[in-house]
Amino acid sequence: MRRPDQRYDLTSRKQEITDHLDRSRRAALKGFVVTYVLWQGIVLADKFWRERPGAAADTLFWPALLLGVIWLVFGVRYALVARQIASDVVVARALDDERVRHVRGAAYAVGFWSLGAYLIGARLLAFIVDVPGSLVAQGGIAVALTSAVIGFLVLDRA
Amino acid sequence: MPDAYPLRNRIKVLRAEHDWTQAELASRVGVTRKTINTVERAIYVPSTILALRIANAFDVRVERVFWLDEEPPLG
Repeated sequence: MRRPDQRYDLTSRKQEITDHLDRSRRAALKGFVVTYVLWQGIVLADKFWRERPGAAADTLFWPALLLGVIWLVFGVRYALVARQIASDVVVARALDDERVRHVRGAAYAVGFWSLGAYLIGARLLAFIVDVPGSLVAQGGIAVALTSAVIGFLVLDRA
Repeated sequence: MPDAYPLRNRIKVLRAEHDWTQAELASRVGVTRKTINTVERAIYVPSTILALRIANAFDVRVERVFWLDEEPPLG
């Protein structure tokens, strides 16, 4: 008769695969967030400078496009790793164990509060200077996404 | 500064007795090596289910693996 804990048994090989996929997932997420920050930084700078004479906007177009493409590549890579994880039930369960779910929940909370702080900051800034709504929205997406991903990467360290 | 989680464990000792690595224990319990690492270092407090699975893997009662800070561990 099988012992109850044997239902969760991963072979050593599976554990290696689990560790490997965990590292791949982290690497893809890191690349995703770093290129996203750089890309959005350039896009926002481009928007800011475009409204001034002698703008640097044209020179910023190509780096922004390149970073956008690299960001997409990391996004696809992450999706491929996620698909690989999902294809193995045992590995998928291990990589979505209770600690990972706990960390993910905490990361969402980090994203939520960061977005809240950003919106308060943007509202206060709007009292002093004229801030376009589209810029605030774009910044809000960037803050929420990056803070949640960075939160996950930091809290998931062991 | 007092620990936020007063849950102690002897996973490291039991692993040494069984000559298991964290990865081996993780394999038997069905979680990642990181999870075992954080539970062992008392960073993450496991659920009752995970605590029971860990105790089952060592074939001991859960009180032999985990105990509260204010209580002495079972021998």
